[in-house]
Amino acid sequence: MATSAGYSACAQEAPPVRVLSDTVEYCTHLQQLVQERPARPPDVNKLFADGRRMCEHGEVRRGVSRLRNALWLLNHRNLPR
Amino acid sequence: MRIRLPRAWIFRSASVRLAAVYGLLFAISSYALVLFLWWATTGALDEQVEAAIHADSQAFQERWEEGGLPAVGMAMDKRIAEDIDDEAIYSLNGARMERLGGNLDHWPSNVVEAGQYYEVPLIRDGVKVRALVYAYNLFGGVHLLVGRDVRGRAQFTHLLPGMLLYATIVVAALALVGAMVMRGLFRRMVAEVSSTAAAIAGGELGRRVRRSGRGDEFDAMAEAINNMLDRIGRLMDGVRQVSNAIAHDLRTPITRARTRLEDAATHAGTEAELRAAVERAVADLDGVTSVFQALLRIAEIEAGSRRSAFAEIDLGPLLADLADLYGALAEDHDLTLTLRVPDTLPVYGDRDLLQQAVANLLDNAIKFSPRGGRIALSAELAERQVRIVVSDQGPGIPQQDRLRATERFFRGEQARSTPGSGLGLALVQAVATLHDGTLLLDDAGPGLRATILVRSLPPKADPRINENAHMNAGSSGPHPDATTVVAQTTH
Repeated sequence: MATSAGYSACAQEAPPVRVLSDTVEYCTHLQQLVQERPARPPDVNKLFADGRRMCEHGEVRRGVSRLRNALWLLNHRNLPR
Repeated sequence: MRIRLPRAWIFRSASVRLAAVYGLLFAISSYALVLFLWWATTGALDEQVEAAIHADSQAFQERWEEGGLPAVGMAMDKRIAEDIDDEAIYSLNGARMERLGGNLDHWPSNVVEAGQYYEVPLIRDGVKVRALVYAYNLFGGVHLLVGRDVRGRAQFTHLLPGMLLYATIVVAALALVGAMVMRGLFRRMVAEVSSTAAAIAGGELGRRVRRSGRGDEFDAMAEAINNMLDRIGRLMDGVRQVSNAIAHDLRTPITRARTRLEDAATHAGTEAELRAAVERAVADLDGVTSVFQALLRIAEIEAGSRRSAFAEIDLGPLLADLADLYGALAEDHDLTLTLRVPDTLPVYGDRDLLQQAVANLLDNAIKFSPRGGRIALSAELAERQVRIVVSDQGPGIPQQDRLRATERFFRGEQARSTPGSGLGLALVQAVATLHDGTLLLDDAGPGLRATILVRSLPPKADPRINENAHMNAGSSGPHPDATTVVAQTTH
């Protein structure tokens, strides 16, 4: 069983790395991906609208989460089993 | 020189110490449980993270083999876009660590070697979090980093101090309640024993520890204490009875001797009369001395010190010698003594004491048998026991007196007119007990049958012993009306 003690820890704390998928730019990128899809069901449209609104109001991570849900539904809902 | 400081009363109380130990054990076990749960949970979370990283890296490896770098980049973008849990961390970098894809703005500086896990600090939406990542080297100097945001584990880890604090409060409260309950139980149990002991010390000798009736360990202890007190009571009664008997039975011969001497001093006319009176007084005092000697001998036997002198002995010849000796005495009393013993009766014991015990029984038989009567001395080996039986045709001992017949100085109604000290059967009993044996007294119809049962030696290679054991295998057990006057003891 791995524990945090078993991982390589830096002797000195390394400078943090910024995550790009939490940014407004990435939110915009996701909005474009959703908009590129021609037929969007109402629930997807609702998620898309919520996500865009949240990103515009500074709630970037929640907005990104909504847009990711929308994309996931578009990509996986009607996949043949 | 050590100075003993007086301890506070609270630490002198055993019930408080018991309660404290209970509370401590409860707290330790509770903390151990909390720590174990924390350790197991974080371990499970780490395993899940590692499994997810491994699955992702496998998928990227497959994309690399199918379509090279563009395929990996596309797969990575798709996974990031559909990462509903918002935990995936990827980075794809070229040979000079230039960024080719992923969701990190640069390769973490502390990830310096492929093939092992690293913890990497991240900035997510302005908040510093940690990620667990694994680095791979792809062909062409391309570097791949796959990881997961482990803020959940970090949050859980940060919860631990708070959990421990709350656990401390709850555990302390529960430990306190439990300790008070334990203390109450302990005090109640000790208080009963203590009050009983105090009552007995105050003279209330009949007081006993009350049992709760639950049949638990406290009841078992109360029963053991009560048995001990009963035993002590019986011993005290015995001592009191023996003291009274000594005073009563010895007063007569001492008074008689004194009277003789006084009478002789006053009335003796000649030296011969004076000498005769002194000799009679000496005989009386010799009787007193013999009583004391018998008492001391019984006490010595009961103390068990003679057991160290035990040896393997053969009772067959010993009983035959006794029959020869007492046969002549029986003839003097117009009695017939018959002997029926096997040649060999091996036992482990004290030869002199067993001889004296049988001699006492024969003495009694001769003393109480009517003229023309028959006395039988027999012995046999049965069920690994040697049974020595002396029976006579005398008045016997009434059923109600048999239990007391072996008490020191006890003399039945029919024995009061016969000379004796009342110590003979007490000594036989003591000898039987010393040999882990039993003395039985029962009705010979008419007369008394006294049976001494002692353990025989285990069979040996000696063919004579085996033959005798076989010969006596069909012997009967104790008489159904027999009174066991010595409880068989084990050591």
